[in-house]
Amino acid sequence: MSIVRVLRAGLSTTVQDFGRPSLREYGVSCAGAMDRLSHELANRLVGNPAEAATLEMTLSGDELEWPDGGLIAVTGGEMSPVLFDVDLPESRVPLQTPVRVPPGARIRFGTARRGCRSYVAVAGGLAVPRVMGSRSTYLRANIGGFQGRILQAGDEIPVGDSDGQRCDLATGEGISFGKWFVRPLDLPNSEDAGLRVMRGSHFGLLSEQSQASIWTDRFVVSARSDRMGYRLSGNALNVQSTGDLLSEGTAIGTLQLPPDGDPILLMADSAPTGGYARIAHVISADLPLAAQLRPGQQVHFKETTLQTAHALLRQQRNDIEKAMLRIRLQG
Amino acid sequence: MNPLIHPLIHPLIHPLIHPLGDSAVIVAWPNVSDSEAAERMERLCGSLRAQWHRGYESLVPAFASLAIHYSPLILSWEQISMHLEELLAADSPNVPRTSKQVEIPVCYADEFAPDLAELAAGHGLSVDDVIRSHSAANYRVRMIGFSPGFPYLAGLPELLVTSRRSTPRLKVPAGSVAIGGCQTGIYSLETPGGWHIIGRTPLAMFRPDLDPPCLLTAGDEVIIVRVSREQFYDWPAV
Repeated sequence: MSIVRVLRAGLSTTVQDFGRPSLREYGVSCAGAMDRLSHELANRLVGNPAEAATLEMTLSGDELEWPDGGLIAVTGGEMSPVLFDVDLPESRVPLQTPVRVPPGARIRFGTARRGCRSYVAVAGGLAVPRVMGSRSTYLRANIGGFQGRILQAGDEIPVGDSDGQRCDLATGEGISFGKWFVRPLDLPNSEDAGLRVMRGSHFGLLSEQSQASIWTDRFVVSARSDRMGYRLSGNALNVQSTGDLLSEGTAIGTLQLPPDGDPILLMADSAPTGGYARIAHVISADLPLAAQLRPGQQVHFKETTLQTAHALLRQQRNDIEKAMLRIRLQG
Repeated sequence: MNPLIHPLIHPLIHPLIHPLGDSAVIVAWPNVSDSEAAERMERLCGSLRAQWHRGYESLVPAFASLAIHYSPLILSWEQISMHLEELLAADSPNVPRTSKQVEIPVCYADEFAPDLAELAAGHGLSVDDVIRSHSAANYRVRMIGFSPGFPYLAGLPELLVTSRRSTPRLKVPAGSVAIGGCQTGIYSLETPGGWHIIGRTPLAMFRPDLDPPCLLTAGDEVIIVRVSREQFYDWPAV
């Protein structure tokens, strides 16, 4: 079995797949890739099933080594990966396309120039043990992924066997890659990103003024943002009265409003229940975009309906399947 | 009492079905008593498990509501709301319960109960009164949440109801049995926590290597068995 070795750790890199959505009733967070589209795309580019485990790098990437070489793909946030070697000039590793790296290859990922999260898939998938049915890192419980934690220098992550698909790419001294790439997810605009939302059950608890300003105000993704959720700061939203809300189910994408008036956008590692007012929900089709937001970035909300949200999700799925078809034709 | 607003015939006794974003729906019973809502929620949960549709992802029972997560690529809103309406229309209090009864050993020794003496004093009770009252009650798991495997237990005797600590602790050991408001709960992981800690169980609430990964499920009945320090330390690890 081959490995990927971490030479220098990035800011917060974890092993992720599609998480544990069936265990919410036990208080277990879903976890899994924040940007599921980029995760899936990276996997399909190297011939893996969509749910194979990948590396999710956040804001600043790692330096990695492939002692036995391998077929990889990098998608999502742009961290300018370069292949470096003392004997050879550095060469850029292209994104959104399968790349064959030679034995001993070392790749350095930099700071995200656009987007926030970069995904690295390796043919065969990362073969860390499954915990509760998934290879995702569940940081709060320190389980899953690689030893239940963020990667550190010296970690050696096992890679599963690949069935040798996509061996059309030449093997040799340097890297080799296709002359084509799959159009990436539209990364959020650095100025201002729009997220489409549906009203939540407690939207009506917002003050009249906040019911209007939520559609016109700009919110900033604060530094207190992580895989559990993003704190959004702006002109505080006011709730008339929440009375005593009982804890109820929440979802990834739920916009909760704690008493201080700064909404929290719940993300992949959020708890499955919460007791704050649910004022809105980011639609599923926009969650990959939300996953690529970075601290300091501005967002605004646009209202949409359940029917539109479902139609947009189906359209996004069709687009992905078309891209996958192209991958198969190219391969 | 005006019969028109009597809860049993109030027109709004019907549960509310709301979208919880575009991939989940929440069914709530806002107009019945807490225990009645819990009964109805458990029955709906049971019928959904018995008639599981492809496209349902998970159920999240909570105090007076049930969240149902689904894949909108497989199930439409119309299909789901129709299914829910059917199950709710067929609901009857005679549906047998499927929940289990679980005995939880709890040791109330000082070393595990940093808030016990203060809580007792606050209620004008002796420590032993608190222990006897807490361990004699019959509890029902209303929800698993806060952290994986943490059970919220209803049934705390009235005289032990205590509002939460003004300053939460940064670290509460796993297994700690605590009182928060009108509920009692068991910390499943070492986490921060604002409830009053009055004892500890040697049992693991969260056990990720087993299926299911938690000892308790919403709806379960819990009986507390008081154990000594010695029994606590001798408790076999599972």
